[in-house]
Amino acid sequence: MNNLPKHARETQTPSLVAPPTRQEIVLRHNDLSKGAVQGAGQRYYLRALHIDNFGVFHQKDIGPFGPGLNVVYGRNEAGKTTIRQFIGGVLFGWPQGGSRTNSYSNTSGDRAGTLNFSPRADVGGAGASRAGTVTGDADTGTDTGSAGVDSAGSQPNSVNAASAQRGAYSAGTNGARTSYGSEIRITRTSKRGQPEEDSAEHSSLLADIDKTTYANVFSLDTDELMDLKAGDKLTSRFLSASADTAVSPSQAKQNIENQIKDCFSRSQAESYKRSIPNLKAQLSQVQSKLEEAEEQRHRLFDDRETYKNLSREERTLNERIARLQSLEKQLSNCETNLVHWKNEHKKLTEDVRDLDEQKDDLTREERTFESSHDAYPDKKDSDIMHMRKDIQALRKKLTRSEDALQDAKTHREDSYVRLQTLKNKMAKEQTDSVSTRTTRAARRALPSVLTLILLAIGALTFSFGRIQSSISITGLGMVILALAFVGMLAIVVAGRRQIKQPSHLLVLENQLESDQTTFDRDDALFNIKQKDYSACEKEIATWIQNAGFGEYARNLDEAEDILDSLEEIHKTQRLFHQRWLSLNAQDVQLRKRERNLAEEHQDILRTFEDADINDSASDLEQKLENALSRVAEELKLARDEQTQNLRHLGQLNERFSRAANDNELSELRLQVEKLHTKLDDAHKHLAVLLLARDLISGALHRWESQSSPDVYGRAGHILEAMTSGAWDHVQLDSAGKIQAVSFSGNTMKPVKMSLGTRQQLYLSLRLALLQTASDVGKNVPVLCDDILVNFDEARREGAAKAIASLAAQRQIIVFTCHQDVVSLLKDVCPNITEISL
Amino acid sequence: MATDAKVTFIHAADLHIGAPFTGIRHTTPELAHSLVAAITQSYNRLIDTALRRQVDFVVFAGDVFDRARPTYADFSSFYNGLNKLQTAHIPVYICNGNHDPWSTWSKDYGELPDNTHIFSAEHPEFFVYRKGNSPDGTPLATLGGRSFLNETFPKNDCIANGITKFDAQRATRIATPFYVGVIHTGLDFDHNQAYVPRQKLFSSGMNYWALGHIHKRMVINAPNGQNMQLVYSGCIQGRDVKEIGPRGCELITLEQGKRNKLEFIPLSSIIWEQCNVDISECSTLDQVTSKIRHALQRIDAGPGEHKVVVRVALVGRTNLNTLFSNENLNAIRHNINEHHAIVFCDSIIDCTRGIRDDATIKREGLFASLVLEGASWQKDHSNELFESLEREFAQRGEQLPREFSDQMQSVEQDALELVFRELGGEKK
Repeated sequence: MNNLPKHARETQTPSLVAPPTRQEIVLRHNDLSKGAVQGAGQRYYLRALHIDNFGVFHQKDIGPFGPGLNVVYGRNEAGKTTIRQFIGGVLFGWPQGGSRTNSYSNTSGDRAGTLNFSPRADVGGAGASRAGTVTGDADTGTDTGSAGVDSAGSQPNSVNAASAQRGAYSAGTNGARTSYGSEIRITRTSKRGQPEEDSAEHSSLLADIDKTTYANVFSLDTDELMDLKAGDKLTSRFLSASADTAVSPSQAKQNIENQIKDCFSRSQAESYKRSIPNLKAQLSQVQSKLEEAEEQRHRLFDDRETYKNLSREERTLNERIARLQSLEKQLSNCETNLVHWKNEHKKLTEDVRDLDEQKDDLTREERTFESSHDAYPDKKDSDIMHMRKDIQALRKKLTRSEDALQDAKTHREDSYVRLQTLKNKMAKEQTDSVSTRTTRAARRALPSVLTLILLAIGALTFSFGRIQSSISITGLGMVILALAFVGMLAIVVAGRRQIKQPSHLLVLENQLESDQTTFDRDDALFNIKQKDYSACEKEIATWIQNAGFGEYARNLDEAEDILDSLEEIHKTQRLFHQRWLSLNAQDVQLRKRERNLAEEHQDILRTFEDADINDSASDLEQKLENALSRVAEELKLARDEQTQNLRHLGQLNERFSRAANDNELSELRLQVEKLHTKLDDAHKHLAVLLLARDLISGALHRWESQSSPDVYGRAGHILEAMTSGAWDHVQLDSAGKIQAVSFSGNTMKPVKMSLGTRQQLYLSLRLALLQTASDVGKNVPVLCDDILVNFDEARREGAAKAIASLAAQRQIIVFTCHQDVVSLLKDVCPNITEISL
Repeated sequence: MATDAKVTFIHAADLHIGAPFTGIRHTTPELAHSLVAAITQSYNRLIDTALRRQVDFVVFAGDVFDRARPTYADFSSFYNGLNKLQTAHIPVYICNGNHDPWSTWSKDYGELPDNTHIFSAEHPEFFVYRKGNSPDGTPLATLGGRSFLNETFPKNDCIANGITKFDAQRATRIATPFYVGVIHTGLDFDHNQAYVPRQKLFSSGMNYWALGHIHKRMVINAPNGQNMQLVYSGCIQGRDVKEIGPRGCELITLEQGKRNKLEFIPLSSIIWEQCNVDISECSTLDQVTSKIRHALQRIDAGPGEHKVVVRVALVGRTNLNTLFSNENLNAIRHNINEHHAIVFCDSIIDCTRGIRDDATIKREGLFASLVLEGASWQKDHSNELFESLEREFAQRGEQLPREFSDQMQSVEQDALELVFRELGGEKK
């Protein structure tokens, strides 16, 4: 419990611990010692104090005080106020220094000191406690006048055990002679007035008094008496502190207020996790994430639209690409066709040129031929055939005639020759007959010699062969021999023939006659034949003339030559004709090709729309190229677009498939709902707290309005006594502000009163409060710091009486620097404890 | 006719696909996961049932989606389910409700498969169902319905107007053996949500009315033994702790000459329950824990594969309530959930009251009696208190939770308990 802030709500039990039984509570509460003091009866009073260091004091002991009225006399600057501040400082924390307030720090060291509280001997009785009495058994069974502590059975009635537990303390203060069985020491040593954790004893000692109440009601000086801050609330807090509940209602109300405050705490500590601002912060955190996720969801659904559009675009693109591709193919075909056409065209052109050349050549040849052969009159082939026949016939005739002539001529000549010869012969015969005989002999001799030689050779060879035993030589020899014999035979034969020659001169003369006849005959024949021949020649010449060859041919051969030439010409002409035919056929082919090409051209033009009919091939080629490159570009663009599209589609698909498994948005929504539920819970809790606060406030109000009249009544009495009847009532006006009523019924607000009367009024109130709620702060002394200075003597006496009256129930310490005040107090209260500084 | 005509279909409504669960305080990651998947799982079970039982068609009577638009995953599941039905030649007829009016469908939800038909929002519309969902099947049933155009149905028009057997025949020029009406309406329970007096439906000549809007299954039989029912199929998965009990869809069989057959098909993945545990006899937190455990064990999970999530309320009179801090209750809850597989406790709420003898307190006339007086004053001035609470909240820039005015009584009770707890509590 010691480490928690004052209004923490949590229990310290981290795990589930069963709630303690009664005995356990008792024992445990020894440590906590809560309630050990409160309500159970034991009352304490400030017996002495030890200042280690505070203000002007250093290692100073003050006391012993009595449980009733005390007066501390000291001159100015003796430290009266210091002592008062010290007591408050130890109880509630050192005063904060500032430009207008004194912190009471000094250079000797940190502020430190101890208050010693002793148990009262006679609670509620007139303060007859002497210094140093032991009050070991004062608490057995004594009912201290607070209500029976049977609230929920959790209040311990265990002071016995508590006191036994604590054991003996030696007082350690000056003048302590006896052991104080259950003395309580409150020490504070912290620097700079920082509130430090109070010990349990400390808290229980103070019980229901907080710093404000102490300052307003218990620690009085003339300034305090000018007012009663938060008048009626203070009263109620004061009074409610004396209610019969285990926790004072004002404390409970405070707790509730604190809980209400906690609802709005922004602390990050675990226990404040459910506070409204923290929940709202969590909610806004999650909500911003949720917004993002909702955004994402929205985008996803937009992406669906995009996907649909993209798919459509994809289809369109596909179609476009297909179209472009077919166009490309078309154009490319066109191109190929065009190239083909070009080649064909070129070839055709060449061929046409060739043909033309050939035609020209042929024409030229023809012309040349014609020109070189146009001399002869042309004849038809059939005529030529006849003519040839004629020529043959003529020739035959001529040849015959010629032959005949020749024969005749020959015969004639022969005859002539014979004749002549014969004549010669006859002449010669005579001369020759002599000479021939000689030659005949020689002629006969020569071969015989030869034959004899041969015979010899043959025989030799034959014998040689036989000697050599060689068949071949032998054979050869035989052959030669054979030849020799044959030759001999021949000579013989020849010789016989020579014998037959008769004398022929007579014969010769006969002959001459016949020959002359023959000659004449032949001559005549010859002349006839010559005439024939000339006739033939004339016939031929006429025929040639008729044929028209007169200028060109002189004879049949020449005529035949002409015919041959003509035939040749005709043949050549026929060849020419053939060639022309072939050339024409080629021409026709070329024309056909030309037509085909023209058609192809048309086709190309048709398929290629940019084509102009006037375009040349290279123009077309260029245009086609351009068109192709354009198409290629478009295709590339389209394909690029397609790639991009597909990529985009792929990305979207990925996103979709991821999203199909993504539950983040749902989880965030759930979180938001959970937080909303918790926020609703927190709001409901707040509403409960607010209603509870109203409930308890209302009850408090009624409580106080029941008992506060008591306070104001008493205050009225005290004031009446103090002012000797000048003022006899204290009440609240309709606005809830304090006012006094004079004996004459005149009401007056404090602000209108004289200084003294005002202080008397507020003093009366305080005294009345302290009297009415006799249990509240029962252990804490009331400190009056020269509060009577503004009172006149009569009122001073009245005040002193009132104070003394209160001292019967409470410890009061009056500080003064006036000796006559001391005397006055002594007079009024003989049991007073007097301390001088 | 050789055989009597017969048609079976599934009637579901209020799917609220995409809507988060409300009213939940605590989840484990496992439970959170189940929650997130719950509605989709239930929907998938619906589709499976339709396929397994080979129904003729499916009807969704509104609120298929929610104002919180479905996530992509949820929408994909919905779409896939429709596709599966399309493959099996099962058409789907949908009317839009106040949470998913036509104005949001047409904008957000793209094109649905061909087998899905949505009733028009501008006028009653009729669809003729032919056997096997093919154009030459025999006409078996005419469905008539009307959708919400916006989030509220115009008050001067009745959503059931023009949906009668006679109107159906006139519009379609076909006579069918059965007529089914499909609308999203509060009937005569909710005057603010497409009010329709039930008599109007009883006299419409339809065989069956497939209704949506009320999340709890309800069957209203036509009077005088007429063979007609007005049925709320209820939602297929409870989405709030308050929607307790099993949820699902209806499988309807209409057969000529026989009474309509209705069969409830449970579909939920998560069933909510509420459980009050009286801990008056307990004196330790351990005893409280075991009492809660016993109570949970007695909860019947019912058939099917679903989780049961229980909201436990501690009731009774005890003075242990000072120990019922959030932390302690959470610790108890964790303890219980660790040992329980099927049933999950989402939160434990302290509704206990302190042990007090009010009569004695009043008699003693001490401070506590003043508190009781104040409490009874509060009870008599609930409305004023409500307004002053509103003001106080507004001052702090806060707002009271929805429908708070209905809870004033319990709030006052809680306030009283809190005051007594504070007064009797341990001093700090």
